[in-house]
Amino acid sequence: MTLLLAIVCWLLLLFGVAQLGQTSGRFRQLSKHPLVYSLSLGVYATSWTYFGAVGFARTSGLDFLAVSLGPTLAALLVPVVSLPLLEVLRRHRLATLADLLAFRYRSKAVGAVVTFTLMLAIIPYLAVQVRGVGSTASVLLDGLDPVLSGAAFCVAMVLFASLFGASHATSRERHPGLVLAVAMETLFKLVALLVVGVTAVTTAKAPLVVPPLPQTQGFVSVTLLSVVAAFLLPRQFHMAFAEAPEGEPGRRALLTSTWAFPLVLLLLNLPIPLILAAGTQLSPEGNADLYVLTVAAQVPLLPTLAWLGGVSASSAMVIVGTLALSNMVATHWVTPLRSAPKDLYRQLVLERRFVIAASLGLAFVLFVVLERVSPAAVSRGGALAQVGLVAFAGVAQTLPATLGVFFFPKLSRAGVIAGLVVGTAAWLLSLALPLVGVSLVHLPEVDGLGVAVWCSLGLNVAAAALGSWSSPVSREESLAAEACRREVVDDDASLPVDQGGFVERLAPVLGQASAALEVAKARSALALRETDTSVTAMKRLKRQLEADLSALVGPMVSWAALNVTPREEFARGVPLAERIRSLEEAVAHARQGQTQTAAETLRAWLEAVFRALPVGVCVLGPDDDVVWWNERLATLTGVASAQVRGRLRTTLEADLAQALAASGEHRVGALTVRVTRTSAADGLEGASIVVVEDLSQTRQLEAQVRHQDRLATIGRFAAGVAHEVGNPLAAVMMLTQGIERDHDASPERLSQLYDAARRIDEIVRGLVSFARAGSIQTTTARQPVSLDAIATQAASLVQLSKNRAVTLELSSADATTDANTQELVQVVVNLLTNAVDATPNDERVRVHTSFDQHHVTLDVIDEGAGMAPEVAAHVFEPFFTTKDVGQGTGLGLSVAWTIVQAHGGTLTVKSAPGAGTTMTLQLPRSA
Amino acid sequence: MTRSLVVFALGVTLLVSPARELWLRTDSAFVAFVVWAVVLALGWWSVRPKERP
Repeated sequence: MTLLLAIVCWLLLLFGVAQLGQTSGRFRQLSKHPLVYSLSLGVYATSWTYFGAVGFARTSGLDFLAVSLGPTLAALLVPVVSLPLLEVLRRHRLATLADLLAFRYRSKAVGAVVTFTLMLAIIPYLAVQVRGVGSTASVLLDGLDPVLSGAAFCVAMVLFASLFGASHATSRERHPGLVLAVAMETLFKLVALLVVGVTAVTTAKAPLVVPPLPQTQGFVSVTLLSVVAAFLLPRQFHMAFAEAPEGEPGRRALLTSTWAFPLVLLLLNLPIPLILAAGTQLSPEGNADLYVLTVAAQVPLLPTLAWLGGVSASSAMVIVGTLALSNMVATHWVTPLRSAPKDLYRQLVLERRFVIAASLGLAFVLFVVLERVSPAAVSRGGALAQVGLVAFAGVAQTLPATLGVFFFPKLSRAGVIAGLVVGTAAWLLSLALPLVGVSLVHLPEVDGLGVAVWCSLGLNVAAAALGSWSSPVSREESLAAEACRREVVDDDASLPVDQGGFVERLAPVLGQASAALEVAKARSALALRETDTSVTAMKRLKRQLEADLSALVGPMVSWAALNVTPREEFARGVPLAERIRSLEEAVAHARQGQTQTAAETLRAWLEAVFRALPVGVCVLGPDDDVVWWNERLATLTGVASAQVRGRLRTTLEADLAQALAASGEHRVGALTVRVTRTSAADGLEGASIVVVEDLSQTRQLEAQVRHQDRLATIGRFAAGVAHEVGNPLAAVMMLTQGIERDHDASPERLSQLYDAARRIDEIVRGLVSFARAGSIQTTTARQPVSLDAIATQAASLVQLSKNRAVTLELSSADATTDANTQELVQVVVNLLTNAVDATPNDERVRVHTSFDQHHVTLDVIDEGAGMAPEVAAHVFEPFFTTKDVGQGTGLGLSVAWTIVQAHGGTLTVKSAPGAGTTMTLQLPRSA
Repeated sequence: MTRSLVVFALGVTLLVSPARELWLRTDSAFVAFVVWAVVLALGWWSVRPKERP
């Protein structure tokens, strides 16, 4: 009952501290304290140190200290190794050792193999922790099945690790609750062990004498193995780097750990000889791994406290170990295999939680097997240490690859994989399988562990060297290796055209929504604008995305998704514009010697585009020699590229050759020739770029539109015309009837009849003239024409339909412009129609003409509602109208503008709401 | 960094090199803890904040 109450209280304390760390700002701040950080590194001391160190001391003498002296030596290297490593990990948002190695060797396979090796090494270690809790619980409670207590422990740990360790989709987030909980557990086990040590001294019935320790067997091997483990054990790597505070606090915390972490280990080891001495007195033949409980049993309630200390040691390791494994497995096994999920973030959390549960499930199964093979109860001690050291040796197989990150740039991914496979196999055969009773390799009695470790590492290094020799480092690996050694390496040959390009690249991995979200987050973090597509901005964004996604889906998946080469993009059907831009970026910014392929592809594309242009284009050198001559130009001129080279003037018609040689725009028959001289600033000094267009079709289409507009105008005039014709026609009929009735064809009556008929004739002639009897005016017969005459004719036409007076203020009878009369009438009719429509019946519409030395000008002035600037800005656009549906086509002013442009004139609008509108037509004056 | 490397070299000399036999042969846990404490103190010395002039 006491035990149950104690375990419930302990669990409440654990979960409570973790929850406070997650939710309370003050506790979150506390989690960044250097001493709390150093205490959290105490996760290194597991139930092996807590219970097993006594047994290890009994069987291997001072070797038990070597396990803690290794981390002490490792701590001395914090400024040399850990700080630079933390910087690299932070810069690239790498969370685990597998992330680091996959990033350095640019290989998903490396990440997967490292994860496999570490998993093989850690699962037995986890099993030993479960065993430590289960077997000690059965000592406290006679009859309690260790498997049952082990299972309950596993469930609680899965729950805790899932809630407080795998609550984020990304491994880039710190877990302050976890850090505080682990630090609290270290403090708990330290206090518990010290109390047991004091108890050993105070309750001894005889003077305590540490029994003669056996001679050390593998002190150096164990020490060096522990140095490696202090850096590379997944739980240690996780607490030291993934959970280190950001920025300067992280640096301070690491430096403090140089002495604070070894101090924690020293204090944890101080009671061990005392407990060994007291335990030997109390139970000379007992299991030394359980002496902590044996000694604690001298004082009431102390066994429960001592046991909880052991549980603390085990649980911290289990929680952080499974969490680190879950990050690695989810990133390097699961993510590369699955397609983009609907909800990436939820999926990642679920995957990590599943891996935590699966890892502990496997550990539990192995624990049950170990209980069957060699029950803890019958051991004399040292079993915990044995499994721990075997795990260390397994983790050490990643050492050559890790050293390659900083010191061996020639180590290739093939070498790393070969080394890991060979080394892990050797470790498995020599050390791991004997744990479950399968001994295939005979090891010497003295320092058998050391022999196995050095042999497996030797084979590992040899295979790595051989692999690197047969398959040297790739360019990507070299760049990544460089990125691990110094701050920035720009491989910008594969930048997309715009920020949307990143979303497209990431969508297949993350899903469209998550990809867009990640790009937005990265943009926000860098305070970039969405439209910023400068190379610098795109480089920064890519680097930020690579770092962010590295923590989310792993460095390799992130890198592979973001770094798409132009050739790969062609294969993936990336839009043409994006491909070309990518190539241009690649050629413009990549290093010398790296651009041949991109440049060649770009040149081929540009040539293809040049050939296929729908306008004739040629480039002439300073001496008018032809440099480029595209196929369309060959079609337009009837002269092929090969014929014209060096013979420009002799092969082309004289006027065309002359036009090509002169700057500016020229008309040669139906062709428009535009010649642009280049300057030194363009890099083409003295060259000419010539664009030749056949505008005959365009002109014909424009004429058709104008004709349609005229017909539409006539249609709108129909009612007014009928009315205007109706009046003189009625007069004709009345006069004719009068003549017939009175037999009186007096000259007066005949004169009236003639006047009425002439009025009808005027109207009909005006209409026919306007419409050109329905023909399409395709040629522009220009002749000197007065704007006054144009204004008068247009006003009479408009008056026919609108029955509105137009005030004419004409003063340019002495000045003419060279124009097509009917087209200009059409322009003024369109201007007047709009003016009349926009003006109330009681307001005037005026036409004012004037001229100066070079121009003749016609203003159509109304006093209507006027237009807002945003409306006025669009009046010359086709189909833009403010009239009701059916009242206008929106083509009138557009057609007018086109005609005026064709006459070399300008048509401008001046208007303001409530101030009326003035449309000004200005044309060149006839010479 | 130099201090750290020097201290690490001292630590390796005391704990791993053949010089370790000087204290390891005593088979005394007390001596071992003293050596450990010395290494630990060296670690503290290597990262202590530099005094301002």
